[in-house]
Amino acid sequence: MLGTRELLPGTLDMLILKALSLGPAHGYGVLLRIEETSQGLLSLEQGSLYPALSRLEDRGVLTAEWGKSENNRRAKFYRLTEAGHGRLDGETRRWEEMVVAVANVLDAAPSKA
Amino acid sequence: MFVRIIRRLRHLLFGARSRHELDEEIAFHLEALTQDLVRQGMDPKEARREAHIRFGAPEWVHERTREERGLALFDETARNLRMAIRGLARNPMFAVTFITTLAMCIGLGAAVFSVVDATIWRPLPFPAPQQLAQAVLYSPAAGKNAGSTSADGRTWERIRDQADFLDRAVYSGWVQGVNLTTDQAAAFVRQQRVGTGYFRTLGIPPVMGREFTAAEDVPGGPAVALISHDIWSRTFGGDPDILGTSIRLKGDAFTVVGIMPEDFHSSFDADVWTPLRPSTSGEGGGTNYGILVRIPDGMDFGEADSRLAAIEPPVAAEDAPVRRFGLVGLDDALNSDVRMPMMILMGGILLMFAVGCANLAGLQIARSLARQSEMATRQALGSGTGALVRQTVVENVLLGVIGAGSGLALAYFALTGVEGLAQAHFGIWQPVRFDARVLSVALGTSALATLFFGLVPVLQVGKLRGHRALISGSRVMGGSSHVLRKTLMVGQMAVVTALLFGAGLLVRSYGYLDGLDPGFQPEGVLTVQFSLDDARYAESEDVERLFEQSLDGIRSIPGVTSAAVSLTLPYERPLNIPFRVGTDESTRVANAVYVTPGFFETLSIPLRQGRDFDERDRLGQPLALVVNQAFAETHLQDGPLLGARLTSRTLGADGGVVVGVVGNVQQQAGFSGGDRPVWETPTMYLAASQVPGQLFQGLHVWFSPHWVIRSATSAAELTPQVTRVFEQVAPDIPVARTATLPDVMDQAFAEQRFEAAFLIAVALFALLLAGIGLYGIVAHEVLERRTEMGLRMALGATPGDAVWTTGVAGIRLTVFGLVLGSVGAIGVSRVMQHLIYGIAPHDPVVMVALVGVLGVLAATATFVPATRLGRLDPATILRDN
Repeated sequence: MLGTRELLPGTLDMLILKALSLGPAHGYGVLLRIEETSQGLLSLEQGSLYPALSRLEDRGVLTAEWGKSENNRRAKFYRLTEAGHGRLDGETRRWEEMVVAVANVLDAAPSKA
Repeated sequence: MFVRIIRRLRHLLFGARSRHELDEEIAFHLEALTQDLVRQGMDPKEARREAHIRFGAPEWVHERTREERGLALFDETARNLRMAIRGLARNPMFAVTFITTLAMCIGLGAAVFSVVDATIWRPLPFPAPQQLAQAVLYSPAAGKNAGSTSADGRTWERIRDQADFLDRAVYSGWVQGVNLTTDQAAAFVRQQRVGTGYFRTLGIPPVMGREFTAAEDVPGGPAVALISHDIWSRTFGGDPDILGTSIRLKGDAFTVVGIMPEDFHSSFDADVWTPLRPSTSGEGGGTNYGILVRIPDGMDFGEADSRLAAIEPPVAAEDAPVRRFGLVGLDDALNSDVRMPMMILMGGILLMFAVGCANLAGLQIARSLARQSEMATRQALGSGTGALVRQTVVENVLLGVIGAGSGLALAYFALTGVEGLAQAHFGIWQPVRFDARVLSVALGTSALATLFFGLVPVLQVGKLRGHRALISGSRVMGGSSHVLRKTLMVGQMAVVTALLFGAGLLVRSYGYLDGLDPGFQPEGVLTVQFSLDDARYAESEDVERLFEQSLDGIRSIPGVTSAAVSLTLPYERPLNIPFRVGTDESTRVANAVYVTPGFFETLSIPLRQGRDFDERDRLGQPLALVVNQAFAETHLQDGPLLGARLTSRTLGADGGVVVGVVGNVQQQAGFSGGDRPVWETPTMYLAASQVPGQLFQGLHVWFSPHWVIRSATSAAELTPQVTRVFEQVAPDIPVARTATLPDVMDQAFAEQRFEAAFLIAVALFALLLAGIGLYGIVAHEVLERRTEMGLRMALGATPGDAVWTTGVAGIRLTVFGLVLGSVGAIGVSRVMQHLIYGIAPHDPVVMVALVGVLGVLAATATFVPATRLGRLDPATILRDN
């Protein structure tokens, strides 16, 4: 069974981009990838995946085309564009900065002075 | 990146399709999830339910997707629009120059396009207009184009009786202003006479009633009339019972048998039609008719033409050249005269448009270069190229919309002016209007000019790698954009060269025509015209009395030095009559004008030999003739001039004797042609007092005589007094027209003046645009080479050297353009050689003026910005870097 931890707002795009940076996938595949790589700790609200995918497609960070799934069904496959890679790098850097910043705040000890 | 914009547009426009795609994606998702759950051991039915629960409501997904898309686009567009407005406001010179250029190009372009469209492009307003044609008689010996659309009665009878494979009708092209009266109302209307079947052939039946029957269209037939919808509603208040009632035209009663549709208009400006009643004598004895035919469905033009050619034309005269029938398309027949001038107008505007667009492109390039660092910075900060392009698109659409909007507003006003001019000079009869075609052409060119030229430079920015622009710092990098801009500049200069050359030729040609010696003194002469086509002036004595009494009255007005009557004025199309000289058997044709004594004195036409007409020249006395020098040189070169005898059936059995020779005056070239619009045509004058009444009556159907009055005071001021004289001697005849002779002269070259003025205005505007473009390039060069010049000056170069080194680039571009444009100018002079008179197509004055004007322009546009360098302090420049 999948875990129940909620996503932080704004991280969905980054996760989708990351999942797709591993290779083209259809929507359900993206979902599975995120769940697997997070070792089941992250659960997506499944329906919210599609608005995000089409938004990213509109922004030009993803392209999509129809193809055959592993069980030979027609499915829409998403792929990261060059801009998408750049966007992922940017988002990752921001995320890391954010993590460091938040960690620093949390680590702060009362001033000795 | 266009793919993306297109995809997004598709989403917006074809929501249904993307909705369908999303449905399919959701279905796939649910199925895959269900299968995975089944694989994990769940019951299939239970698994499907679980999948639906986990996925959530598909409708919500749809809604969210739509929202994300729509809002994102809306947000971004609104943001881009705000940025665009801010950006343009930050650089008002750019915005103003761009919008003004675009507005001028679109405004003038749309106005001229509408006029040209109405004149030569728009199909004639009749059903299947390509099947309408006019029958012509060709003289194959005189060349392919020696056809005449004017037909006489016998010619019409041939067509009527033998060309039964065509719908055909005869008409008179002569429209006359008449008074229409009823017991209740009166109106001044324009009457045209047309044969039976005329409206059927055009394809426009009356909206009420019927057109003329064959029985009505014979000499002595019943007097019936068709009226226009306009007259029906204006004068008769749309009376539904009008058919069968009686109206009076010039006092004669006609029964109304039909009303034409509201939007009916032909090339003849008429509102009342009466039967032509064609004949082979009188009017029908001369070529006073036109023959309209409609080629039946399924027959092509060539076949109709050759079947018509098989009909034997009537023999004109024993020694006349062989003729054959043929067809000329109605649109050709109506438009062939104006096609060339219209194409020149259109060509001029298109060239100006090209220069304008090149300027817009140049402006865009300059702007994009100036914004390279901004773009590069934004790119480095993570803006996708797509976002930059989208922003540029929004910016350009904003510019385009403002430019096109102002352009159309300008066109709306320009149209009134251009239409008035064109109507006066080209006889436009189809209404000039903005229709969907004009609008789409205007908006299409606007979109092209802004989006295309707006994006070309941006695509180059797209290629640019951010770091390069950043490394180069605040300095503006040139590269290929700059080369593109300079290439455009050379092209612009070339176009301007060709355009100016063409305009210069027309101006010189007009100058030549205007400078021709008219052969008379127009200043101080007032002309008054009357129609004597009236039963009261059928007899010679009546006309004579009118002439004498009116001239006596006019001569007694203070200030009037002389006055006379003449059938036609200089520049007017004169009467032609056939005649023979002495015992020579060959028939010749010359202009003939009747005048009263004192005509030559009034117009200051010099008497070279013999005498003017006087009291001796009366009916019953030998017919006296005065000829002009051209006549003497053409027809009387072999014998003594005075006393030469000319015979002509038109002038009576005995013919006349030449009693005087006068100087030439300019006449419209007419059939005796020349290679310019006016010509000193051979003309004979006869005394009005010796014209037989019958001839008067015939002439006055076609010509309205002119009174010419010379005064020491201003001619125009005389008008009220002259009118009073006419009210006394001829109270019931309205004055048709008064004009001063200088005005009449002006009218003679109005078309040439219009063409020259129009083209020179367009060329100067294009020149201004090119100047702005050149200025921009040099200013840019100055900016780019500031540091270099600062260094050079610090190392000892004089400010003059700096200015020269920078400015010479602009001069070089101009010279390249001039050389390239000379090739175009050769083409232009070829095209225009039939429109220019009195100067060679390679007129040296135009060439020198052209080089001079371009030189001044190049020097101004180049050295004004370049001298800024000279004023700079090298130390300041170097410190800045």
